[in-house]
Amino acid sequence: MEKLIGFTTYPTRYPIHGGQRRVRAFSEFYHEVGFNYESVCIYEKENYSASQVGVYDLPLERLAVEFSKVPFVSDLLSGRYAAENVGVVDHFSRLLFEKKPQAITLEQPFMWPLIKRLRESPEISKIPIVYSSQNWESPLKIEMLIRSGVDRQIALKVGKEIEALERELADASVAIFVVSEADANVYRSFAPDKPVVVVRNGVNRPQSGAIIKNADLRGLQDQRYFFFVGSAYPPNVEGICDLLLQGGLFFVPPEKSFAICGGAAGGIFRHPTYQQFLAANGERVDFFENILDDQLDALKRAAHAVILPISFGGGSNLKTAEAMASGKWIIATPTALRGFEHLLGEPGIIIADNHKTFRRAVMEIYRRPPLELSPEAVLRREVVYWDRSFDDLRQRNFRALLKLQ
Amino acid sequence: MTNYIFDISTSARWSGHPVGIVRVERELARRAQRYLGKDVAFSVFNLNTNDFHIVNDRYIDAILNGELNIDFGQALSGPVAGSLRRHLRDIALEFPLVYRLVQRMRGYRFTAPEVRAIRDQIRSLAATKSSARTLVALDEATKEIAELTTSTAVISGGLDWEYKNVRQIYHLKAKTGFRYFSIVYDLIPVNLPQYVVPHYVTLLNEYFGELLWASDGCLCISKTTQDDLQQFCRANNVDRFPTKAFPLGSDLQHDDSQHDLPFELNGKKFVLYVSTIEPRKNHRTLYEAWCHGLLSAKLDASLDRLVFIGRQGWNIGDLVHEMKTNPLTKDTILIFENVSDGLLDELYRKSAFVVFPSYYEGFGLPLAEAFARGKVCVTSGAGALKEIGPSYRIDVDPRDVLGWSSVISELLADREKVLELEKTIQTNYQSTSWDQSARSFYDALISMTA
Repeated sequence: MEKLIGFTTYPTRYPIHGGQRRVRAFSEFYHEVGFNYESVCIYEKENYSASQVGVYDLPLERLAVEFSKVPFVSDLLSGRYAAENVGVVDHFSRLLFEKKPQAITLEQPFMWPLIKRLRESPEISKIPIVYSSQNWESPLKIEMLIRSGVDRQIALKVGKEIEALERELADASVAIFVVSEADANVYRSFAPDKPVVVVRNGVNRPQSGAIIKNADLRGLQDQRYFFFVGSAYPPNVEGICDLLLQGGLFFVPPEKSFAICGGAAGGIFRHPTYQQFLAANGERVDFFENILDDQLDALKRAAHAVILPISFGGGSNLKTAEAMASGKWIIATPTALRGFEHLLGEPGIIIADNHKTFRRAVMEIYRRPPLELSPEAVLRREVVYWDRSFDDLRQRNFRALLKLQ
Repeated sequence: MTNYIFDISTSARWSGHPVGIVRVERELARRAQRYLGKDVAFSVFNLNTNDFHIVNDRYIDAILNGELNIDFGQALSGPVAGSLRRHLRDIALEFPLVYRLVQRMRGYRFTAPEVRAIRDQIRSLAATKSSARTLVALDEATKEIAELTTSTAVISGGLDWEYKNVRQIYHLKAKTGFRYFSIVYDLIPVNLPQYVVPHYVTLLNEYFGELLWASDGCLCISKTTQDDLQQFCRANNVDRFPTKAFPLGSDLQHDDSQHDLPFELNGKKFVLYVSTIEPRKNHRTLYEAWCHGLLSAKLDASLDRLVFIGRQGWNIGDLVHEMKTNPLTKDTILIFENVSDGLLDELYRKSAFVVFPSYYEGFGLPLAEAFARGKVCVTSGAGALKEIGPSYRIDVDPRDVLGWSSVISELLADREKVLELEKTIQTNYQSTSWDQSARSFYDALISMTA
């Protein structure tokens, strides 16, 4: 079987977060079209144990370089570090000579400095590059840094460097895969002559017959509640605090009515907006920070509605796809629905773009009976499954797309 | 058949001069048996156990008269420094020369007769205040934990954010099925949080938020408060209990004793403002207006006085400092606190007229009290003030300093006009007594519980 090597800034052995799950889905698609895919990375050693990383993955060494004290830029630093460290360049160079991949894919643009360096070798420079975008990263990073209190000028400088990476990589690639039509338009403007294919984020189909036994729903058992899941990624914490928690949750009685799951839980609990009404919120919210997939599924299945209060960020959201697949009421921001615009207007999906309308939607859905979708509506929501995400790509000649013989 | 329990937790804990809410709880509780029958019980809420305890009959009157407090077993606290300072002041007042020397060091000059007058005034106030208040332990003061059932209706109208746990009351209701009816005074912490002590903003927002779920009916002290409450319910998409408005009484307790005005007011014309001194009450506009009147010679510094009756509240220290140090106002704006009902009555009657420039009120009891005494009232007309004496009020925008200055100086200079206005008010204004207030309150309550 032919080979593809993917470069990332995180290991993908055990997919947990959205980016890792997307890589896993691509891996399965590549296999389907006849390629064996392997991803390698520069990773943050603080976040991953030895068992979670692959044999070719290398840790990021923290050096006193530009932006080294700026938060949330370890991805950018990883690419730079890899390109500037002779040992790292040699390591990946040997890997490419050994594996002889038919193409190199980059998940996000951050490892481009390394690939550029590797392409100084004439043999490697002949290997086609695929840019597998997960977001239009530059504006997203600028906004995240400014919201985190980073000096605006530094944030803009970081954003400029990332945009340069994205433009260069788009220009050097034979094909660009993106998560939404909005992102596709951006990359078409960067590289008008390159094929840009939308591969929306999705979710796995539920295993038929899978039954979740004895899931611990804690105080939410037999309660009508809203479900939220998110990583510790700042937009997740900011979004729920700004759009929902500001002003308290007094529109529901002092009974458990919200399940807040995933890495965002800690940040939300510690956020001043939550802490302002700590006792009152504590009566209404159950946190599930470290949660197993089975329990997460059980919580989602028993929920009355799924909320997607994401106020900034780019790309399309795995959580959104999961919410669609759940068949529940969905209250989402337009940002959360990016990439799923074709589902706007579907029954049970409420769009709210500010604090007032979002809270009002939650209040109203709390009073509504559980959502019952028609079979046709269920079918329309199924486009969110990963196997449907590759529909467009599947219709193309993949080898021709990669300009392979 | 409804079993009524009137909760008097605030009266049982309150030890100071009764503020408006304490007064309302006491006046309504005193009349509960008249309207709800002899079987009405009185309770206090125990924050340690989240239970309502039924008060022993023999202690009820003493609690409602402010003569008895219940000790719930919590540590007592209080400003020791303030108490020590008052003690030292009282000693110094026994020796006028010492008091004058101390005050001289603080920048004040008093004559010996003035010091004696101050001493007598403080003695008189102390005598009014310290009517041998008794402290009784909870076990002694109460006879049992209230048996709450679906036929029980608990009435609550005190400082519930301090002395009750409304969230726990919601859970207690879920277990027992009793109903809970609350008096709502205002929603200022929700709508105008800038006028509320910062810590209380969160506390009171939480209280109102939980009240949405704990209450089975809210009795509001004005139509304005009822509107504000309904707006708050709509904002939270909650529509689960009725609301009604009832008027507060404005008759002060009858007092036959003779009350001399403070000596500083002897032979003076004075404008009266009865209110806690805090930003929402807008003493600032009056102060600026008064200064303007003096600077423009429309007020007479030797004769005209502006009198504030009320304790000093939060975030007002700078203004009080200005008033007490400004050569224009240090002798012409006077502040008195802990004034007895009898003296307050006398101050109302002897004042030239009454002012009320507040930015917002849930009711505005002093305005009703002033009209009930036939006084001319200049007000901001803000919040519920607009409901009281609409045909008789003179309204000036609370931010219009020059407008206030003009009205105050004109009325002080035109005694005939004031007398004419007073005559109209005395002839036509229909005041509400506490008996009438209680009748409205209990009629509304009974219709809710029926």
